[in-house]
Amino acid sequence: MILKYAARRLLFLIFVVIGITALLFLITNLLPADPARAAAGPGASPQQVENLRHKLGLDQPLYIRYFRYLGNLLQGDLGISTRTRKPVSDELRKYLPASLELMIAAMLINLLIAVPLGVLSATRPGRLADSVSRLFAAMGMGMPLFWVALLAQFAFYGKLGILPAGGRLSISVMPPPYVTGSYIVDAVIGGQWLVLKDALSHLLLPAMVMALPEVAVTSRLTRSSMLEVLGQDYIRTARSKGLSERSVIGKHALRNALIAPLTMAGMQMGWILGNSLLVESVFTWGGLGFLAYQAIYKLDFPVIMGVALLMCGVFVICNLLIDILYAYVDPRIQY
Amino acid sequence: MHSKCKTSWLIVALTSLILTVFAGAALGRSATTLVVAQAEYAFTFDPIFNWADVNRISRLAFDPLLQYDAETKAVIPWVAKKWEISEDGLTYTFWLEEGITFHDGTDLTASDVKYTIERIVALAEGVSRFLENVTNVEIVDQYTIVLTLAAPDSALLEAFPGLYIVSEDGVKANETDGDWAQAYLQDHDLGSGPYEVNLHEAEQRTVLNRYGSYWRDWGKNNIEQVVWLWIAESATQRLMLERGEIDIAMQVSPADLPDFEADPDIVVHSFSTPIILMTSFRTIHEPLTNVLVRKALAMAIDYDYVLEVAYLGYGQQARGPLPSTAAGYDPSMPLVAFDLDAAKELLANAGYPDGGFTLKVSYESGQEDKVRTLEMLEQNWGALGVAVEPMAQDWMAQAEMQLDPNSEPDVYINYIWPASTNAAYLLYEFYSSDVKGVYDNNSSYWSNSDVDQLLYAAVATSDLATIGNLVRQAQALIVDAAPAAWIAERPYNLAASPYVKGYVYNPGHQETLDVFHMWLDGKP
Repeated sequence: MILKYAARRLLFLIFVVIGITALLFLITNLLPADPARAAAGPGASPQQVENLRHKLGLDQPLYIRYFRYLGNLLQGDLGISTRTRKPVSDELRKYLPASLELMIAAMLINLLIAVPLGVLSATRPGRLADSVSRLFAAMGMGMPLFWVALLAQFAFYGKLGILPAGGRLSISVMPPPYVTGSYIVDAVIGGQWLVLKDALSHLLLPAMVMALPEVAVTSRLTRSSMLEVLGQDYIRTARSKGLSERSVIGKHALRNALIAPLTMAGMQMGWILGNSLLVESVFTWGGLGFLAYQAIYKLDFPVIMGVALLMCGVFVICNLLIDILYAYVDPRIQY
Repeated sequence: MHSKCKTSWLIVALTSLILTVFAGAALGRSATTLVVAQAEYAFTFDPIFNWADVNRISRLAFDPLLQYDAETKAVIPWVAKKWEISEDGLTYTFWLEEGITFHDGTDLTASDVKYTIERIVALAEGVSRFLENVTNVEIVDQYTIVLTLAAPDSALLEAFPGLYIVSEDGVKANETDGDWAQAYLQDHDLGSGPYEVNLHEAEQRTVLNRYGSYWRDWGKNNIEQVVWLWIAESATQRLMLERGEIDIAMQVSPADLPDFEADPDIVVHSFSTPIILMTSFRTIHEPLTNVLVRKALAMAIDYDYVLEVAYLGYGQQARGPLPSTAAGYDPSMPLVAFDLDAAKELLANAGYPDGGFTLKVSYESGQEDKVRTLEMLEQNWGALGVAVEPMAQDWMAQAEMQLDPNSEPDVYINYIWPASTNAAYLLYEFYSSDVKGVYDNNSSYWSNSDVDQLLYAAVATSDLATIGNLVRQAQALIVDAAPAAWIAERPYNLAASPYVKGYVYNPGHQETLDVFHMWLDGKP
């Protein structure tokens, strides 16, 4: 049943892709900018611009370009980057592991901090944990991420000197042999523990920054969900039976309270990927966000579309996984 | 108890992980490694592109046929040890140095030079526009090559410092689907330069190691390795420079310069560049068709304000379209003085005693100096009774509008950004009739047949004295016609640690580093 449900959801993805490609194609072609000129660079002669326009297929009518793009997309071909002249799929493959690394780290930090904080906040309302949770919420939701990134860099690198300013590895450290593209995973596979340590130290700050707004949301959501659950009759029954508070919270309340944060986590994965553009730019992370930033700056429309499609796909798949996870968290849910 | 144990172990594990991460996240530093941070990512190392971001690597990894000397403002021998130009200016003969090897160990010969030119012409991008006049390339012997031109072109010699020689064997061995190894050159080099690309992590860093078999004498250079870091934010570059993690920050915010100047551990290198900030008057729009109106508007520009506010005291006022870095620059040419009263009088003489017209001014909102200039124009031209209607655009939209004679803007705040160090070519690409509506450079849409004739003659001869004379005459006519107000020579500032020595700005390789002639003196 779950498989059927998953298949239905993935089928829906096709319509999403068509919609997104149509919208993006329209938007990018309505912009008063010439991607051929952008690719040719300043100072290019008109002949060079026209040559490039022809080489990149930009001299074709819009509808031909769109249907050609869709046709190629069905074969897994996302087109050629006008900036690098490489297949967009190659570029995405190259930059995706770094973003996934950052995204997963940010989500882990989010859940490891936000869920306990939310639980503490709910079980000790009005006390220190609750105040800290509210502070995180205010900071996370109120401060622009770009500014937080610069501030964190200034504090942890500039003043305290305990974390690197950016990049994925130190200057003197060579990347591990390529297996997945994730330096953490590849360093473990290769048994390169010094590289692992260096990679982790570089990952920590951007991941914390990315996690901050999500911690704000998740902790408050966990808190309110927890409070609602703690007010239920079965909790009162559990306490009446003489169960320890730890058992009441951990075994009886938390599992039910996690439904809401879990739902949010699926959406947060997509948001984190979307926020990555700014954070990766500040920390020179070298992931999809940085790729998207360069592509937008240089009007590299095939890459912009590729990144948008990928993010859309990640969003849908993450939410699907979360939905599937529901069935394990709450046995009452069936598909 | 059991769950308490599990929790305790989890806390211990997490704490250990955190301590591991924090403890000794030290950086490897070497006294012979130059670490440079810059914001513009080079998506390729293909030297066919002469943009600054690519040229920063090309200059280290490749050799050009000739080099441009910033001090003498002339081309000097490099891979070509000498050259000869025929009387009619149609034949260029180059004799190459022997014993130069590419990083793959193969010899650099005339065949590689010919192949490089053929490659550039075939790809028809980047520097190919400088070779449009070349009709034939002939190999005389292993170290002699002859170029034949369709017409004389004095700018050709000065194009060669930007034409880097690639290994023919290397290109052929790494070609994919007839791409002339363009894909390969995105991550690798095929050059003979003093440094070779050792590691390239996309959007992260490029590491170049000293090429041990380089053919020239290293002199004082003791830099074994160059690390380019792509750091988008100037604030981050500043932090890293202050902490000593980088040696040079190439994109510094003007706002940081006073702090850098005050810091004994940082040296600010500031140079005037060939890039001139200007307001181009669309000479086909009324009332800008009237030279008196244009001159009045030029006199209402507060040049010192732009230098102080936009460039924080760096740079210098321009004396016309030629920068001070160009051969042919005339330092005796008078500066246009800021004089509102004189401007009003001139405007009255032109028939606009109270101004009474509006000018649409196009500018790039992301460029600080252009924004400050606009603000000043709004005030000062407003004092003449001339209203300013700003039009914020990106450079591509501006380029499209500059080409179109019917486009809206009356004035463009833009740059003279020369593609060549050749003064005649510079004036030609910005003020000749040929480029009206062709290149986006002649944003004034101005033409003068006398100027055209002088520039044609200057381009057609290779005699430097004659070129200089013709250029001075052309410049005088251009300045007198005032199709633009040339405001300031844009300064280039970078901040470096004091042990970085030997840096000299080269207008032939704007915003790059000539690491070969640099050295580190006492880097810890």
